Amino acid sequence: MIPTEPIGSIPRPSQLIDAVTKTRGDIDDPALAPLFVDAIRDTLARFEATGSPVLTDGEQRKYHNFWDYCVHGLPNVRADGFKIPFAAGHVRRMPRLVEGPFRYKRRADRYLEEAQRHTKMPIKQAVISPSALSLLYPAEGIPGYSRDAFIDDLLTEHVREVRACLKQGAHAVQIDFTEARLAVKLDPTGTLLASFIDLNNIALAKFSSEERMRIGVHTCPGGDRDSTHSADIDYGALLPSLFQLNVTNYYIALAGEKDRRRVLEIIRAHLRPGQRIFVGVIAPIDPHLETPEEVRDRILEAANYIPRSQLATTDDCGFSPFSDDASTTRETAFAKITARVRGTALADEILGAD
Amino acid sequence: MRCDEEEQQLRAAALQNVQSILQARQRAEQELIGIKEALEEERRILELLNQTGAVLASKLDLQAVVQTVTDAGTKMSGAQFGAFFYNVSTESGNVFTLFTLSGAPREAFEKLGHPRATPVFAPTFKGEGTIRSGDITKDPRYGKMEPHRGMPAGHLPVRSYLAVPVIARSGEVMGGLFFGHPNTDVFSVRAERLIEGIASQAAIAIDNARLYEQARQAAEERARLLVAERRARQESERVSLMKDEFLATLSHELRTPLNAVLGWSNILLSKTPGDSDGYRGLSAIARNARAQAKLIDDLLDMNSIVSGKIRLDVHLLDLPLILDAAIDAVRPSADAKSIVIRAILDPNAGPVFGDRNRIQQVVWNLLSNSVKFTPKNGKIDVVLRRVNSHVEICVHDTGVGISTDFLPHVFERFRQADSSTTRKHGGLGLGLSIVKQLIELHGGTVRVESAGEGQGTTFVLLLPLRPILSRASAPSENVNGPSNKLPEPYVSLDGIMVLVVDDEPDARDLVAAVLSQAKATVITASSAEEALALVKSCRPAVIVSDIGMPERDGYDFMRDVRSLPGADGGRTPAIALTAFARSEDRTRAMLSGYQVHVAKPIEPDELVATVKSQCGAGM
Repeated sequence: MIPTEPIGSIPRPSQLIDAVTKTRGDIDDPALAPLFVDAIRDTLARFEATGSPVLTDGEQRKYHNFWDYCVHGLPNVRADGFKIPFAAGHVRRMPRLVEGPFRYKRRADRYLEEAQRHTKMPIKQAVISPSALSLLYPAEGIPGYSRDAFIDDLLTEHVREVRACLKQGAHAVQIDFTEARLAVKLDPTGTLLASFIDLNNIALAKFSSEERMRIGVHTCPGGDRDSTHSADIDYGALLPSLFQLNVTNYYIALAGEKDRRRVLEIIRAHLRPGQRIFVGVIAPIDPHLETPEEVRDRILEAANYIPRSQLATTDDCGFSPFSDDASTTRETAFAKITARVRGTALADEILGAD
Repeated sequence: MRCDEEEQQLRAAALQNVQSILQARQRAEQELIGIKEALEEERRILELLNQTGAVLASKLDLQAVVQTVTDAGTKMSGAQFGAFFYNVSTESGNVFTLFTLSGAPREAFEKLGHPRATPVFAPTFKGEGTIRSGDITKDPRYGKMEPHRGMPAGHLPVRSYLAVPVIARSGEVMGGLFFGHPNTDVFSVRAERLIEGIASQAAIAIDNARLYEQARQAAEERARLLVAERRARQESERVSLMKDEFLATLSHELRTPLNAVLGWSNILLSKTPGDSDGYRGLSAIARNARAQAKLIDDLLDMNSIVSGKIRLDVHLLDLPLILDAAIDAVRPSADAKSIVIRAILDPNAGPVFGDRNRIQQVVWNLLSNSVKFTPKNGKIDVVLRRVNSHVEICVHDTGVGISTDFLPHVFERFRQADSSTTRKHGGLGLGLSIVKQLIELHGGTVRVESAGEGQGTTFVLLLPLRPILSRASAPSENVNGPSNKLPEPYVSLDGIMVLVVDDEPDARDLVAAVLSQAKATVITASSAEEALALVKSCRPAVIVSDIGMPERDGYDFMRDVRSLPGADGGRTPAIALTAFARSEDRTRAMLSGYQVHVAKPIEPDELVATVKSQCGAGM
């Protein structure tokens, strides 16, 4: 079978979003607990119903988003960090570190452990990349806590989180590297992207080759509210560097690309043996609900460029990376996932056994 | 515009991280290099450990083992030099200390005393655990003054110091491993653990080497003893063979003259009036010749018994008959001393199986003994009776008795109660020993009882009863065997031609005279060659031949005869008449073709009867 996996997030139930809003982000409020549990259970049940061989908890507990879930609520973090402008005109503000030392407040293996209580199916866990979190350190610096010390702490925390997820039995650990395209957008010279790749590779070097078989990176234009922060950045400036990452699995947004063939040509040119490409066959921010046949055709198209043994499918992005993003309904998200699963099966029938 | 500004700020912040990430990368790369180096070092150490382990497991030579340990320890610890001081025990039990070195020339230590006495070294030799010091010169045990000085003058400079005792499984401290380096803080905890591991391996290897050395020495000793024992056995066998041969020769040489003495005295006696001095003289000569022949028989018997060569000719025995015959044999000498022999013989005491001649010999021995040691007018009782599952033969006399001290030695060879040169009674002291051996060969026992000197002596023989067999299944129907028939009082060889062969003229003439007296026609030959010619030409009825002859002996002669056609005398009955009286001589004679083997000295009647019995018994 052609492997197929989701990216991660599923829109939260509206009652959960409302309840969290009322607590002003105090996600440890006991009143929220049953709502979280219901949301996670419901998400996993619906996921199983899609026939997807690998599930996620829909990132129901990640607050406020895929990026800062691990530092939300830290006393040495302020909410007035840099701003990420999206194409649709809205801006998301990132947190800012004001004091050392840097430590995570929570790790994603907690989410994984909770999800495992509700299903026996394989579960994938997404974590944020160290390169994304490196932007927490303010431009003006922090007295008594050097940038170098911060980078060391950051690497330590990230490695600890990934290792904990692997130990907890994650089917795969996906490092969200959505800032890759943002890095190219911010610095077209490629210096920033190369630096990000370096930072992530330093962390990845801490794992054995067996462990890295279960580790992947995800890159996309950064979807939020049916918009992106860097869709205008050409993959040609990104993918060659991305393939320098020392991982096995690549989750690459493709369905929403304007010129998929060109992207596939770039992938083919830089793909190395042993790497597996999960091509995006569903565009979460596209209101159009893909049919299984459309998905099948996208896979067959990709199969012209990627060897069958290295080809796998996924969604372009999470369906709601930000916890309050309700632009896509849960029903739509699962319908699209169902289309991915069925379309992958159709393609598999045509492409035959590996 | 606003977006652009946000982007500018973000870009500025992000780019500031680049340098830090670069440095982090360099640190990671350095760390990686460090890890690789550590791995390489680990690999090297493991390889060294493997090599050392393999060498220690395979080497049994102590010197090679300790050198391997010293070299490996020096390399693993990172020491500039290392030494292994170890104790060696000599065969005499002395213990002294040797040492091996690594990383330093032997001359560097030759002039220095062994490091036993100082407080720095002593704990290691006492097995009190590892000492690891980053700077031993700062250790309080190091000392600065005599006698607690640290390193002796002229010692290689040592700051970093590591010493591990090598302790055997038995707890014995075999020695110590010492490592040094002129720099401080060279030896890590890990090095300490490694050296402790090496020390454990070394203890086992040294133990094994010592055990191997002990086993090797023991094996050499065993081999040496084996060779010595083999040589001793060969020598013993050679001496035994020489003794047998000597006895055979001695017997032959003694019997040959006796044969003539006894034979002629008998012939002359038959022609001498019984009341003359000549008759008495001839009687004494004959009696003494027989006594001497008996001594020779005893010697040969004892030799045969001791060497296990005696064979019993077993038949159902008529014990009263045998005892009567033995009593008859000693009666003349008893009568001479007015000793009364009384026989109380139960005819139903048996049945017993045995060798008639041997049992008769035993009883005759005991009776002779009693007659010999019983004063005039004494009494001897011979009692035959059944006691439980045994037949008991008692010979009781009223003689001189035996002292309590000598009683346990009565049956020992060559032992006599009075062995002084002035003793009253002669003999070799073999008779009772032969009695004991012969009775034991029959499965019986013999014991002696005496209340003391002057109290008389009782010999008690016990022979096992045989189960009573039916006549049909009895192993031998002939009581006492074929030889039981008493010879006819007079036998005539009239008309019988007998060829007598002997190289000794005296012996030849004696035999010829005896046979002639019995009216035989006697022809004689002095050699095998001559005799063979006579066999063919004269066709005698019986051949009587000596065995020990020069050139072709009696065996060769008989083989020549037997190779002749029957018509030429090849089947002529033959009697071997020889002084070779051992059982193996008899066997050899039979194998070469003789029908009968008669030992010298001969009894004339016996010879005549034997010739008669062979006459007409052509093969």
